[in-house]
Amino acid sequence: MAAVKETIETVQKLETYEHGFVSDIEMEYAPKGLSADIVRFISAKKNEPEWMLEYRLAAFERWQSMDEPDWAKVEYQKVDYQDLYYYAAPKPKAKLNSLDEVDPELLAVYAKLGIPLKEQEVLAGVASAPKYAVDAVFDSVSVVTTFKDELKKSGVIFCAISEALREYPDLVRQYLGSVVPVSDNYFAALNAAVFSDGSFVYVPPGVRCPMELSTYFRINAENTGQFERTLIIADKGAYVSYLEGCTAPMRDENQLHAAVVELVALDDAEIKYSTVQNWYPGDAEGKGGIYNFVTKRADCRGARSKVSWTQVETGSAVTWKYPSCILRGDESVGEFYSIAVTNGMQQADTGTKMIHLGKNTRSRIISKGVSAGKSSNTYRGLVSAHAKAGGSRNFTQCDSLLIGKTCAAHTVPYVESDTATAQFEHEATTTRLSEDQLFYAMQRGLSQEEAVALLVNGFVRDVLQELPMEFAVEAQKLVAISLEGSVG
Amino acid sequence: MLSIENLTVFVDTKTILKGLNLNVPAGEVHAIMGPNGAGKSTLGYTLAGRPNYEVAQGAVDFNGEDLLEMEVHERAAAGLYLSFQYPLEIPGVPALTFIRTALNAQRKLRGEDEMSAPEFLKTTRELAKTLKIDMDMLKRPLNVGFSGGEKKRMEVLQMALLKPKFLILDETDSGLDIDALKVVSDGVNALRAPDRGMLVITHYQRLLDHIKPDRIHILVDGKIVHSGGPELALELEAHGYDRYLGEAA
Amino acid sequence: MAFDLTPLDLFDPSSYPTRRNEEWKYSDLARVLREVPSRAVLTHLQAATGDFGGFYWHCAGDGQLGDLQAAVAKANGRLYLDLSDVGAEGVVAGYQGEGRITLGVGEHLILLEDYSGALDYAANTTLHFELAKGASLTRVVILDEPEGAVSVRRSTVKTAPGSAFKQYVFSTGAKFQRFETHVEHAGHGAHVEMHGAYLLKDTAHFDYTTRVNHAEIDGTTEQLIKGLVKDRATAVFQGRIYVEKGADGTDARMRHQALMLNDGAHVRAKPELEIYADDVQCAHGNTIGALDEAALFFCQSRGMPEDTARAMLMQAFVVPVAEQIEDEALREMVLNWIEDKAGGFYAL
Repeated sequence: MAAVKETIETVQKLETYEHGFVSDIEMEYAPKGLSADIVRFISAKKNEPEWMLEYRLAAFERWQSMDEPDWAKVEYQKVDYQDLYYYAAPKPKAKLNSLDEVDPELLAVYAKLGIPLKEQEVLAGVASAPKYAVDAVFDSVSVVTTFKDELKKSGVIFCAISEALREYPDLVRQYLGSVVPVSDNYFAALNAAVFSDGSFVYVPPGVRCPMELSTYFRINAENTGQFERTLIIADKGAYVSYLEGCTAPMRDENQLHAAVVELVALDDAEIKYSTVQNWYPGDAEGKGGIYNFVTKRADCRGARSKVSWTQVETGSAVTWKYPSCILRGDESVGEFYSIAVTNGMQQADTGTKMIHLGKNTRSRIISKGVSAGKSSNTYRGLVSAHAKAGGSRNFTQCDSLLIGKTCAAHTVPYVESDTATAQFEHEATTTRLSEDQLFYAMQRGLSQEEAVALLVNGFVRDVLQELPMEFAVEAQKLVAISLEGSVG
Repeated sequence: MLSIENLTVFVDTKTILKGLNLNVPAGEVHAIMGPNGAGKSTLGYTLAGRPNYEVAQGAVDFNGEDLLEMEVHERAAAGLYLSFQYPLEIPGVPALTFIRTALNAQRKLRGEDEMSAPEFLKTTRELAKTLKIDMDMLKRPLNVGFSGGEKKRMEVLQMALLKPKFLILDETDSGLDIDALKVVSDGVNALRAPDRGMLVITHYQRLLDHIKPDRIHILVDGKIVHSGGPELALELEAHGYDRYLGEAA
Repeated sequence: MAFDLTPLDLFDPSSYPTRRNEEWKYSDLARVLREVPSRAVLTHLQAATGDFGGFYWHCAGDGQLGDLQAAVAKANGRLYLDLSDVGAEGVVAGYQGEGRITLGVGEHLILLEDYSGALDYAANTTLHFELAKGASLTRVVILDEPEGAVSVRRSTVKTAPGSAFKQYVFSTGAKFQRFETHVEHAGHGAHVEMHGAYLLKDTAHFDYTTRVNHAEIDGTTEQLIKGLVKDRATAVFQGRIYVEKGADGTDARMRHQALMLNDGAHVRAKPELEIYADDVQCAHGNTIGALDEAALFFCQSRGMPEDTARAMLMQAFVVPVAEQIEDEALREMVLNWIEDKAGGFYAL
């Protein structure tokens, strides 16, 4: 019951978006707008190898010939791609050698967000608390990565992708774009052209990553797009659990976030990827907020490999996101656990694709959508079995909860099978918050908001359980906060 | 009648039965008792020929025939009947249609004439009455929406109609209240005959109060570790399986 | 809300929808209909009208759907609409037509639509139904079209408070066959059922698309679609339940179950819920798989040879759809039809 109590307390705090502050940090920008020269500028800033510049320029050319997708159930003011900054970085004081040299202003930002960037602080914490390493991305660059050295001892590479491009170019070149090709979609092509930073993880064969890895994304600068790129490779028999968190200041303009995440799992490897997405959702009238147009995909390349996506999506004005698994290796496993909460004027179109190519592959989808206010929440998913994917299995449970008369919930599953021995099962329900349960809880002394928080947390429980513990508590609070004022 | 020799069975690469020996003569009722996971249900499924129950070694002689060489339905036609612990629901197939299809398929394989529809209906009606089964229930899809007790009575009705030579009752008492248990065991007892054998698989002694066995075998970890007369059931009821667990190891 | 039918003119290839149109994603008419059909007049199997097993028999082949209301007036509640056509030899003959049936307050109609033709043809027919308060329409559709037929059969249905619309569609597919039903659900106790069963083999293609728009309070919708797919055949089910803002008390359920009998057959399902009201109970389920091995073993253990058991279970899989037909004569007729058609599925 501790979690419930915590939820109630958080609700009582009545803070709508507690990460909405702006930090005054000296920044360096590329000129506004997008051109081949800007792509060259970004590449040069990062001291990238020549092949990487060519990759970016090809992506930029491809992007120019593509159209912005319009099939999702979201409506938004189209982005003016020439009115954005594509590179914004805190001005480095000098080349950083240790954490002590990080701009204290920046450290203060992360402290305020509750992200531990100083290793000694993490270590000084409760003895039993698990350690986790953080890569902090501030606007366009990674400002610091903790526990790098300790990880290196076990052979795990965890660093900014810009650094990986310099230090491990062969590894990056081998895998970058191999899961999400440049031509995959409009936003993926844009990202390939202009991405400035993100995280890189490589876990060598047989290694179980000794701690949780995490990246914390912060958009701070105005009129700036954030295009991060994450690449995680779990080599044969490796295991890694990775968390990402996101916040942004409250601003009246919409801001674009177009990330690409690629995961590669080789034979017997396992990757667990968890997201708590709390980008600024805009105000009650729908002004401002982040456009979250993200391509996340895992390639279960090896036999018996496993990738598990867990996401808690509470933020952003518009979300367009489908973390997917290509189940290529025989007996590989894909999982997708999702909580998407929308309130106010938020719109979310999110789901997954489970593409069964290998034999005896298995996938599981649990999606819980909660819509309140005037928001719209869509689950969109594809489950498909290739003719050669004999013995594959999928189970999908997709539930939507409606709170109030002005919100909308949609379920759009695509199920495609070409093999007789695939077994696909899909169940979906849409219901409203039970007035009887609400009354029952209130009769026992909970306020209406507390009762809503309690019931909604019950509704999303199956997914919360999939999150690493520290994140689960955080996520539970977020869900409650996101729904404030949803019952009138 | 049924003679099992050194039977070793794998299910999904796991060895469940490990060299089991058992002999049930005609006219006798034998009980197999054992703790959970001992392989009791596996024995029933293996004898019935369920796919994925792989016989690694051993032999089963059924009235002079090699049981393991036969297809599932051939074993049924030869007179082997397995009463399922969890009888399956067959949507879209009325119980009457199901039983009649099975009955005539068996007769055909044995080279006998099909039972005519009026005769089938008459026989079924009489048996249903003694088992307290409503004829309307027999017009509904087999076992769909039936209670646990109704499903078990339907199993007994089928054995009574199909007249098998050998019965395997797999946990027939599970899910039954005391009244249903009486109806079901009366139905089974009515089938006791000098030319018919029975194997009663059960975890509890309760069922054996109603269906009195001639012999009891204790199955632990895939092997019969002890055999005895009916008194063995009472001893087990009093002391549990603990003293036999060591013997298997 | 107006019915949203994709404009289609068989004689204007530029109107053929392609898979780029989301509504036709799994049924690409432009790819199948490579040449524009000729406007040949088709021969009708029977040019008779009169009694057909207790139904008033009305022939409406070749798209001659102009005077349906007159036929309804003569039918005394039981109308057999015979739409079976014989195509022309050597050319792809095409026809299209549109018909309308209106049922007055409290009127009841059982409509048996028979699309069983011969030879190749391309057809595009649309039926519009309108139900007044308390009216009921039961529609049993037999799509037993020739292998080479390209057929688009669409209908719109407008219900009224307290009315009931029940539809049962049975199909063996065709070269291309799309059966599309759009329902404007008036709610206020109106009840809609749209069921279907398909038995597809060889290269048959059957697309069952349903759109239900709950516009008012307290409407109910039930759907059960089941089918068998064999060889290289393709089954498509696209169902959408749309609940408008304010349509509280809506109870809508949709279930699709497909059985695939071999690799290389195709099943495509897209069961959608689009909900803009909050006091609703909506659910959909979709399963695709092979015959239940445990049930198969159970049947065999009772003495049935594998073929017999498979045949019985396959037929049993689709039978529940027909069993919901209340009219006994019609139900028997459909059950016989299924038994007949299911015969082709036993040999594996």
